[in-house]
Amino acid sequence: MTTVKFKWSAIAVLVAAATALSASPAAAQQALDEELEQYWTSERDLRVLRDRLYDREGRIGAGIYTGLMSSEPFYYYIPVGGRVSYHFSDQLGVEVGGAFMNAEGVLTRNTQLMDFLISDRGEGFDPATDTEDRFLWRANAVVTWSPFYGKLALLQRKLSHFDLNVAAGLGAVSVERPDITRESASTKLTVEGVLGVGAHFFVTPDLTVRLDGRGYLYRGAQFSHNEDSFFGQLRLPVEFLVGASYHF
Amino acid sequence: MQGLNLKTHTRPAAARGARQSRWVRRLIGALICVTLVAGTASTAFALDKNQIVQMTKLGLDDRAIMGAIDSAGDDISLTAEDVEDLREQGVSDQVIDHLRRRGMIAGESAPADQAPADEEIDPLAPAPAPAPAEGESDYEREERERLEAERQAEIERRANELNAQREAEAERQRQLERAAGQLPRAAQIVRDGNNMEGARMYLEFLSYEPEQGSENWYEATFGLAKALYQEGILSGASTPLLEVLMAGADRPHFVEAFRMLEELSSRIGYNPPILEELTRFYVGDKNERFQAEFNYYMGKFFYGYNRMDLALEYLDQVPESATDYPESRYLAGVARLDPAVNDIPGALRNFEAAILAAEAAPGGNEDILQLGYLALARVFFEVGFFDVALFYYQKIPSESSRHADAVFESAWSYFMKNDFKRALGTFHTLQSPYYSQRYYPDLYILESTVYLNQCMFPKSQRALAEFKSRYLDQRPLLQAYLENTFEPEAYWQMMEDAYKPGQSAPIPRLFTNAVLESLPFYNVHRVVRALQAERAALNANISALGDFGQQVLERVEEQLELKVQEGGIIVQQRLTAVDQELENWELRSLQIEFDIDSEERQQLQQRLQNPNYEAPEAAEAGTTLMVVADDWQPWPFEGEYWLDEVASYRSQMRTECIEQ
Repeated sequence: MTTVKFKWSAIAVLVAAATALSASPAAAQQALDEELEQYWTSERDLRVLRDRLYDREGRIGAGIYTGLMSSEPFYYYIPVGGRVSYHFSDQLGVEVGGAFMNAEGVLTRNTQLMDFLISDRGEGFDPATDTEDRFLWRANAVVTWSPFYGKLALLQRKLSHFDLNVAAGLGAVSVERPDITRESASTKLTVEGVLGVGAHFFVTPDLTVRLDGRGYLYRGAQFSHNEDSFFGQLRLPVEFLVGASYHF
Repeated sequence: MQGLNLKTHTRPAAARGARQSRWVRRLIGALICVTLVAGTASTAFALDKNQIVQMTKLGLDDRAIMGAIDSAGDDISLTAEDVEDLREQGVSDQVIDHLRRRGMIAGESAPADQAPADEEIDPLAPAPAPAPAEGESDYEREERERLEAERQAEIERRANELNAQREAEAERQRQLERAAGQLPRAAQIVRDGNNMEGARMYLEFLSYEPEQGSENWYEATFGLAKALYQEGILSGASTPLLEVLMAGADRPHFVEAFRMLEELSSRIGYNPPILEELTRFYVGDKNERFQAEFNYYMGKFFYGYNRMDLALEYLDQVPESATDYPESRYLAGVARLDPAVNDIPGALRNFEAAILAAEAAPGGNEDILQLGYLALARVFFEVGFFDVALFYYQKIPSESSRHADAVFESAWSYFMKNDFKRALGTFHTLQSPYYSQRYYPDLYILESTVYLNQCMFPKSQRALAEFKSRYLDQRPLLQAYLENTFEPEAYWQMMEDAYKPGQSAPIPRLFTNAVLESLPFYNVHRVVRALQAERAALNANISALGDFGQQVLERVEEQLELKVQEGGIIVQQRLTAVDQELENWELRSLQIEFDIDSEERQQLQQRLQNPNYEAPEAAEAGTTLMVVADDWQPWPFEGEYWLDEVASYRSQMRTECIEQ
């Protein structure tokens, strides 16, 4: 889906460029006609915003973030990561980022369920083979689309500008995964799809504070109860991130 | 054909027997004698019964004989016995009737409706032949025979011509009947959308010159107009359409043709003066809807010709239920503002009615709504009711192209009522990217004046500096262009090129934008584009239309050339006016500069005289505030222009003048 979108945009850009290069007399007439129409129509097609204060077109952003992934039954994670973005326009951009969470007790923590199982089953419980995937790190690339841009007042004193975006992309995630017989566990690298939403608050023309939510869709571990069901193996962990980006 | 035997008559003496030769000689001799007797004053020659018989026996066509009779003048006189003799000798009844009609039979007078003599000249009338004379010499005889031969040749030629004409006429009639049989099929073809094939069939029928006004002629002319109209060849459609309309309102296609005419007027400005003839027709028997359309159209027609009394007469007849009612009220309002009528209260009533009708129209009539509000605002501005004017100016939505004018004129209203905070806010609106391309040189002069009145001298000077850099510094380019460009076509082409992507115009876009604001230019531009589209449609179908298409194409080219010239003249006039306006505003800016110096000195003097005077607080930051809701929540302007806020800026600045 994301790939298709990107291709479409690229074709549109190429077509636009070709059209501009081969401007015919008819196109020239059209230019005058369109210009004239702006003076003599009851309803002009106007952009809602002009001279946008926070401009990102053609800029590169770099940022760090952290967050919380609490959707998994045995662990919750505090990912720490970084990302680099490029904005084709104020609305459209691409972003590459990665997060690390393979630090047990610090970035990867047991849930209450996990603690209960450890204390209840004692030595008969091996967290590596008796649970599910444990995330080690992940990296991904997403396309971001920011259709909403607005401003709000804070205590009637300060204007804050923000935009809301949606993101979609592909990535890779490294997991510690028990095998199907639950006799051993090994590190696996798997592909995942990324879906997300986010809000960027413009602190200065260069600095934004970001709140993001991400969902990762990937094919999880195979066990005896789901080995014949592809959909039964699909997993969708979700995380909330907070970060800051600086735009150059 | 009862034709002539050419060989027989080319050399009669050689081809016929001796007896016939003698007859011919006698005839020629007689003719020569008669001619000589008749004298040279007349070109006619006398004829007698025997000659008529002789011509009949020679096998001459009846029409040729009748032509000879006509050419002979009125000298022939026959008795009833002669007529009987003629009949016995084989002279046709047609020839005898002709003699009777000509009054050449004694005792029978010519009919009262006899055609005038000057119309009786028959093309077959030969030159008078010399009559034989007694004891003629060989030379005379040869000369006589030569003349006779020439005369016979002339008779034959004219007879052939006449017969050819008759044949052609018969052929035309046959073709006409055949083509007439195709008219229903042509109508079906046009209904099916194959306009050019239909047009070709109608043209073929019309090429056989059917009787003008006949039913078939009417159907074909209307069908041709409709086919061309549907194909977008509007100029081509105009002529047959006009013929259909002028055939009368009682004809079956009058209503449909009239609606096509409305479209033609709208799209290619087709409004020839002859359309006034339409007012001769009685349309009271048509339905109410059509009557309303007719009255509105004629009202617009007379308005266009500046005949406001007639325009109002028709416009006021458009009923409230009519689709065109909002337009008719608006136009009537404008007509009442014309100096010739000068009925301002009536105009205001019309504009109000137009607005109410536009609001009530199904789906709304946004154009008339905005035009009505703008018209009301302008009338109230003119009479000095600035608050009322402002009320109406604010009715124009910011998406409308008229909003710029409304805001600009609002600025003037605020200025006139000394509301400088709102005036400055309005200036800020007009300097936003939504309107920055507009040509408003007086905006800076106004702004400078407002600042001057508030003793903000640096700001006043800055506004003048902005005026200078934005307008006056560009003026030499405009002047140079005006001085070096003479052809209207060049002005038009300059406008066409000015907006081409990647091309630079000889004058700054600010000035060409001033031309775009001109309504006459807009109207001519629309017509030019319609004609260009028509030319393209014609070129694509020229083979189907044949000579007619070529004629229409030439007419379209001619009209296009005229319209381009007209458009070029409008561009030239507008640019010249711009140049003149800038000169006037430059003078005004010099005056303000002088006032700034003078006021600055005066204020300094006041300050020295009032050393303890505390100036009012200046605004903390920025120059404007915006209002985003009815509860007047202020937001500081940070540099962004939002469409929903752009008309709501207010200045927070306070006067810096020292009270005396």
